[in-house]
Amino acid sequence: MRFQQIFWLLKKELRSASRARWLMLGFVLGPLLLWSFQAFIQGFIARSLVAGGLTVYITNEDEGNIGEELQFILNHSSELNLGAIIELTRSQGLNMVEKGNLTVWLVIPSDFTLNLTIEKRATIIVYVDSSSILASSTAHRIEMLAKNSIDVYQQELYIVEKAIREEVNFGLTLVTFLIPMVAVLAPGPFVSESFAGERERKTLEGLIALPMSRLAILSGKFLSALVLVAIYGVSTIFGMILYNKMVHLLAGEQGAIMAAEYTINLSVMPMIAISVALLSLCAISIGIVISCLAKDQKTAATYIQMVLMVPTMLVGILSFTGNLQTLSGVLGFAVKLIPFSHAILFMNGVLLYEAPLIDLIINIAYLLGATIVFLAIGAKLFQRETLIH
Amino acid sequence: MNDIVIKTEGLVKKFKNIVALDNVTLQIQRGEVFGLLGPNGAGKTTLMRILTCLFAPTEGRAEVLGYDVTEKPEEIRRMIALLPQEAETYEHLTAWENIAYYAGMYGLDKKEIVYRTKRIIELIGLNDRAGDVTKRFSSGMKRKVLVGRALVLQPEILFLDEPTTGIDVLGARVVRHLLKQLSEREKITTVLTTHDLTEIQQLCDRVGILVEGKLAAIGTPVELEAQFKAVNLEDVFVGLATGERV
Repeated sequence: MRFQQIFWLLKKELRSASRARWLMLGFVLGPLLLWSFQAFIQGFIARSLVAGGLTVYITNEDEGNIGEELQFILNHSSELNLGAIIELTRSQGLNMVEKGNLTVWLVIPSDFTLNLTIEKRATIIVYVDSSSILASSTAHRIEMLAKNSIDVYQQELYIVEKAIREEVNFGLTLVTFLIPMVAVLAPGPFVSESFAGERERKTLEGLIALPMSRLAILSGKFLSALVLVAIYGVSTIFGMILYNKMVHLLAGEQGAIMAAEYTINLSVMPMIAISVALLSLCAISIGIVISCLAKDQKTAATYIQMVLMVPTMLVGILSFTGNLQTLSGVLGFAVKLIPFSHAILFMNGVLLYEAPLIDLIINIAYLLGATIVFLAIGAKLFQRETLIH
Repeated sequence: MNDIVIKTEGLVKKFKNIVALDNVTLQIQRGEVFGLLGPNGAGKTTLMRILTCLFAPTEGRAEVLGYDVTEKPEEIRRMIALLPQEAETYEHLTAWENIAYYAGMYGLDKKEIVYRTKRIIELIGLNDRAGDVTKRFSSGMKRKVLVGRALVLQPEILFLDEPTTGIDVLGARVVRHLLKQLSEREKITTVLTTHDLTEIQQLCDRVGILVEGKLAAIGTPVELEAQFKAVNLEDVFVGLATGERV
């Protein structure tokens, strides 16, 4: 009988949810809209990266002729689509670096030809303003062209890249900020409606007067949350597929190479969807605790938004600026106590760099553990649900 | 008609320093419509919540259908139905779904759920609107759905906590009419709390008047009027609530 009761409760919750359009909007359209938004940004970036027209500075100190050849190749390459190549001396260049007036500056040292001839390898220095995505992309293409040109002679080219400004990451780092934010906030209305809302409408009293344990009631409600989270996960996968298509479309033929770099590999999509679903689940369990403590739906919704949004924003910003992985000490420990940080670390690990498998497992285990702990607290609170008005 | 289904002895309920119920002893017989009358904060809802196993008494004991409320709450809940004060329907569900959902929560099979829901929909007179979501219903219609939801369980005792509070005059009239019909046709033992004397006079066989947590009087309206030498029940109530002779 208990399973039948849970099933009826689940059915009721889902039916109610499916008729609350604003709620379903969050679960189904949320990921699609979000990934489309991300595609707009990424597509724009991909297009901007190959927009061309950038002025590149060069200092050729090479006493041989290969440096000159390299400069010639750069000057006449249609692939690079450069605006102009301006020659300057090393002291002029350093002066401009100090003033921050440079975007890309290539330095070919005096022993370039000598090293290539004798050692079969040489080094050039590339100064890049990495806060400019166009400069970073141009430098990257120059480096590739230079390497390929030298490679023809079976000689090796080393490139030392020096940042003119602090490095700023764009593109996919935004994913690891926006996606968790929405995943955390989307279930809020459902949880506050399902728990505090029932209490406010006085339907909870009738519900707990039924011959059904409170744990069974909680299970029914949590199961319906699970179904909604699964919908959210599936919608996230569709969102990512849509994103891949849109990035290519928006970047156009011109930006196809860069767009290809930004698309999300099909193999990692399920992992992202799972982490997003786990994140939502964790948010739901925290929401249950808050809803059991809040006296009405509005209070619950407000607290849920606050409690979930503030740490997610904090962790998201740390991730966006690249500090989440490197943060150490008490602050680093405190931030990593926030369950959402592990979802973001997981997404970073899957999307931006190849994190070791053990790190990914730890992230998921922590998120799952936090969900179970909050659920247990929620169950305890729901068990003691009182009806004093 | 001497079958006692509800029995309380020296029932006390305290919330920290506040005594909500003070030594309440009463008996309610099968098939009886019993009204609990009292001003706000008199302890009516608290008593109802103890009888529906939502609160545990601080002292004393309460038995419903032969079971102690603290010892066998699930058994009791299987045989009773509660319409809480100011309760709302699930507004995204239709009238039919609201009623069928409660039947489903009792573990009934699908055929039985459909049969009972159909019968209740007819009983509460909502055949034409059964498929409409209750969000669009008037307060009276919503209350009818809630009464129907309680009745679908075919309870041995129906607890109605201020069933007409918060709804308009017409809605209240509709609900009272429905409850009157039910008491006559279905003969379900009903306990209802109210501060509406019309409701008591129209629906109840006996009435208990609660004042500051104490059961100040109990009996039929006629018995109470005679006992307190009052012209009507209102005089009895006002006299007990204010401590003045009217």
